[in-house]
Amino acid sequence: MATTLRIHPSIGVSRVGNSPDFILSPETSAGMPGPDSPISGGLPIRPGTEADPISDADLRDAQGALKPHAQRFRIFAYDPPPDGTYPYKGNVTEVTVGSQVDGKTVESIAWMVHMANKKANNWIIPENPAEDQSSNPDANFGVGGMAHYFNGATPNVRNGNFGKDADPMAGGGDGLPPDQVDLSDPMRLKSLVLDAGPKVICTSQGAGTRAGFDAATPCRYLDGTGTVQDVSYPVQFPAQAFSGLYQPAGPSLGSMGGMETDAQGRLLVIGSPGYAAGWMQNENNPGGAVPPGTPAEPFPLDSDIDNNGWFDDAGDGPVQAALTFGDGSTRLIEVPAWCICADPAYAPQVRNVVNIWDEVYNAWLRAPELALDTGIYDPAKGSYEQSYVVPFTEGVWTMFRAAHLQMFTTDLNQKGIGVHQRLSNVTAADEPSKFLNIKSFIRNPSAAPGSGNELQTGAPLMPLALGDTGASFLTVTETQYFFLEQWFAGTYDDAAESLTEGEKLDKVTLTNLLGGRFSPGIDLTFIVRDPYLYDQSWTDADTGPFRIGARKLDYGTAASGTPFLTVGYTPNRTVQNPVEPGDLCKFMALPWHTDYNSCATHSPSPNPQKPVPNTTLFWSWPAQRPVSVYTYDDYVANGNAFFGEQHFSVRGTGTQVESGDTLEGSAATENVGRYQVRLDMLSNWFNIGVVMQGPAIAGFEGKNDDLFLEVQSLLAGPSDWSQPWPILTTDKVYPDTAKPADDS
Amino acid sequence: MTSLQIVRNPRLRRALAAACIIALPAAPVLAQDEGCAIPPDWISQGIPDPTILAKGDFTKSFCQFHTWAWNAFLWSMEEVDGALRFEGFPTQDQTIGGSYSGAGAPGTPVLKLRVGKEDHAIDSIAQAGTDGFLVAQNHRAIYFSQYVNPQMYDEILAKDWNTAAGLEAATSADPSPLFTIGDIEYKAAWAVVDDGFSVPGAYVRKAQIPLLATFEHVGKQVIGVPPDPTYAEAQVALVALHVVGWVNGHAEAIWASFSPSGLAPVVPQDGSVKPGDPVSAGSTPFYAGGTTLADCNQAQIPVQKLDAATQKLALATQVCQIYAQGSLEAGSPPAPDDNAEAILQINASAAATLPSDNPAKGYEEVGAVWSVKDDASDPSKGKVNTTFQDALIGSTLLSNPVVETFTQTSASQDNCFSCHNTIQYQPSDPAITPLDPSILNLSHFLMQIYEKTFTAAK
Repeated sequence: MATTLRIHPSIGVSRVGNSPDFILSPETSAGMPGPDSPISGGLPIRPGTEADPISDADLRDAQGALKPHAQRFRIFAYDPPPDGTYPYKGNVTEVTVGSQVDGKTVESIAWMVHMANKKANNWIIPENPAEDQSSNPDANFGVGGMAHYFNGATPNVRNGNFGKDADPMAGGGDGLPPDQVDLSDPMRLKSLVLDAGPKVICTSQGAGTRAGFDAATPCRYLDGTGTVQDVSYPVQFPAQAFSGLYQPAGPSLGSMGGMETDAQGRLLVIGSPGYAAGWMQNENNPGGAVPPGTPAEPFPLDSDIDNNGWFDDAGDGPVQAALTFGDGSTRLIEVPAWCICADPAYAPQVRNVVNIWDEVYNAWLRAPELALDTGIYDPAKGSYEQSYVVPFTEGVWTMFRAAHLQMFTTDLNQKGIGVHQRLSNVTAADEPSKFLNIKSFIRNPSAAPGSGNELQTGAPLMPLALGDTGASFLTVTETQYFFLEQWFAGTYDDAAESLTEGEKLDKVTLTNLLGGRFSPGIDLTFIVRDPYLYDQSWTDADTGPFRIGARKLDYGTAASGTPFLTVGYTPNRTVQNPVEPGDLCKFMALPWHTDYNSCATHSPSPNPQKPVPNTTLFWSWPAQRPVSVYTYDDYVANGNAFFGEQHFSVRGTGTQVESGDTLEGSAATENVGRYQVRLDMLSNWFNIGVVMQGPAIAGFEGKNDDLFLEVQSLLAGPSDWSQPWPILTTDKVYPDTAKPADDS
Repeated sequence: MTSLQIVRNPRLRRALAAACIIALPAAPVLAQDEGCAIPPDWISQGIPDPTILAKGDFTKSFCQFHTWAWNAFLWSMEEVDGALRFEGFPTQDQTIGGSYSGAGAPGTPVLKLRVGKEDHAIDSIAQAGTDGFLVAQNHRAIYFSQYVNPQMYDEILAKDWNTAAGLEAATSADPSPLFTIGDIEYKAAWAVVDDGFSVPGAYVRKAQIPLLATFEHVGKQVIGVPPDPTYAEAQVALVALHVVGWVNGHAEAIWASFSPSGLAPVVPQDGSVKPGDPVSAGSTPFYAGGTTLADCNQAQIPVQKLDAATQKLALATQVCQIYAQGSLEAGSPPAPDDNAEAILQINASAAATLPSDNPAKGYEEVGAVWSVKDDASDPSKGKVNTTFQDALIGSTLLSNPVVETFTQTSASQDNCFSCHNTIQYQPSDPAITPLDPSILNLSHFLMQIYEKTFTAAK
């Protein structure tokens, strides 16, 4: 039997950046202590090194452009072949150029990546609960994105009148009903889908040779034998369909990043440039008519998450590899990994209390179709195993650490900071009940929505952040809650994690992404909870867990001028539902910039009326979208002794609130810390600073290593002050000019 | 289970139906007395010890609760040996040291400012869970002091609740220990009234107050009482007194608040005052006439500034009371509910009947709140590890405008039980171990003793 080969991480993450240079995506977990360094995990890696964390000097290039992250993919050999259990118990070794596999020497490795973006030809992102499912427990009472796809339903559609002689603006951010739009219309598939096509890079081309995900790079693919084949593929970028693109920043939207190999033959998938572009309203029906008077103007950015008439260059797609051995034979690693290209990481070491790993792991444990580990949760019984001994550090402390780190990206008050600090100090040797009473402080994710329970209660219940679609407040996952309960009951140990190197990459990569609040989220969204997103044959030796259930693409059928990709994956279907390139990112905001701009703080939605509306503002995704930061400059100015005031991460010219009703709601505090005109984010996202741990900052002289300070912000100009929580919709906003003169 | 008289109040019922999407427990609907008033014999024969009333019936009407509140307040405000009775009661430090003598006039009280994190030495709720502090129109900060009545003091000492170890043991006990009927805890708020500033109707005395400073605290610059403050004598006026008492059937206590009337304008609940409108043309000690609603109740933390020499803050707080009587009005036009009507009646009665030389004459009850959970056979049943938010009655939106200024509309913090509850107590100082959920955690007088003595013990 041939040695089992798998590509890891199973789901990788590159990140956008407007520099041609890059840094490597982190291979350590955000906020977690390292074995031999004061620097916590989560930092990107310096290119050309195995694991050296970057410093602040590595974030930007000489021109000040923000470097994208490149996801490093590796091949691992499993010996003996996996038996369908997780974690794997055998030996795992990395396969690089020169490695021996089944007695043959690897001479070269060919990598294939196919990135696409289907955002403009997709359903909108519902922000409210699915009303018709409010009493249906099978649809989670209408809460969460999956509820909107229950029983064959879909939400409304973006760009509903594209390709029609009809009002281009119709529906706006609410979209048009799905029965009025055919997503499989070839005109839509050709014009609204960015498709870089399959690209191949070979180690024989030399490390550092780049294959772009663009029209200029020839399309090639790996056939069933692992042989590289040329193909006349219908590459699609907006300029092919539209003549008058509006590009508020950067060059034309003609690239979705690229890839290189490193000296060992690993793959580096480099993130997109990160730009957005819009077409003109009068070009909404290519080759056809539009209503008289339709202006030759771009569509307005009038929504935070669903903007008609716009593209961005994020993307996602499968990653495959083929080995060429010294004897001339080849071997294709058929089961792909997957790469997504996400927003920049502005606080890569600040851990999310609920991250994508928590979501994916929860889904894989609980779904009968996946049943990852019945020793923890048995889907047949529908219950957790009470005898399961939860590992303290990975199962519980990660949440405490995350809670503590929020102080560096939110405007927590002193009480919250102190309590979180204590939690972060808890060890496995401590008595749990003396630190955190679960019932006192942790919102139970299994509480039935809508029954007037703790799901609608803000403080003191945690996490103190906004909830998923249709949920007022954030909850940990059921599995996280179970782990906390086990810890509280004393059923835990201090055992170290026993994952193989590849499995660690799978997990670590996902721990650095945002979970919990998927309306839509910032890296991936609610679809990670769908068991039909994944390859359910995971117990097969060549597959393994956490693989996207990829459609097997027959590139031999591709024809220039004919869209190759289809509508693709639809969530919450009960049949295997193959996933195409572009099917993951299509559920994210369009463009991502407007969502990032908006999602600082909001009132809870739905707003609990207990008995009056909740006027307090809560954070959306503070670890992934920093709201308030301490700057390194202030710290230095204060003699490396204390922080000074907090500043908004998104600040400077264009962010000050004047009338208070520019974006959303009428309260000034609902609009602070973001651009008052969404368009401004499109040309400023690359100027936002990055929060890094003190010891990772060149020249840091502080005595406390556990500080996370903003560096490399290029934003300037007048701003508003950040104020400590609780912030109310009735609170005033203050410009960050000098404090008032003493008028007493 | 205590039997409660169910009285249908259409207005209250409408309010609940319109406003609550949560399922409340079987809440008793208390009766509206025809006239809620100060009993005449309190005036003619003297204010009775509120312990007597605390042992009585609290099942029939809102007025029963407010009558006890006024009883406790008036009794506490009586002059005894040249000072108000409560001023002679044990302070936190006296309770920790067991040094309360129980006799004689109190010395000049040493007050400490409740501000920012450092206030937790005094009270763990800095303006009800914020980092803000209140500044009167004379630009001086508001100071706080705390006391318990002698009965509660004796109980605390007898049960070793004045030590960290004793409190740790007590809060870990099952069933939870209870406070004794008749126990009373106080928190007093004081405005500095030197320089001709006055608070009409307020009791005034001399006190030693700590001088404020701007200093670094846990990485930030804060204005507050520095760790080792110097003290100075000042004339202070009592601008609020929280009276928290344990009464029959209510292990969670009645939480009542009193202040001189007219400290801050009341915002009408009919929406007639828009954010850009002045709330009132007239000025008060905590409000400059003409200030708009949008400028009310702002903590102003980022832009506040202290002149250490004069002890004046750059920015005064403009205080407006959002919920009169701590209640949400209902109906069209909005009108006070039965609880609020009871408060209005007894306040009017006090104003009309208290002699002019009574120190409490100028005060009114802002409101009182308690829980509907009631089980005489098991007083702690359902009352441990809860914030009571689904089981409140009375002034369910109670905030004293000069004590809980900044959270009057903050849904998670807009009543006493938001912070004074029986869930696990989490000190701000990371070095201090939390306390298990317990009825005792209601008392932040005790919780602060725990924090002080925990640190000392270590």
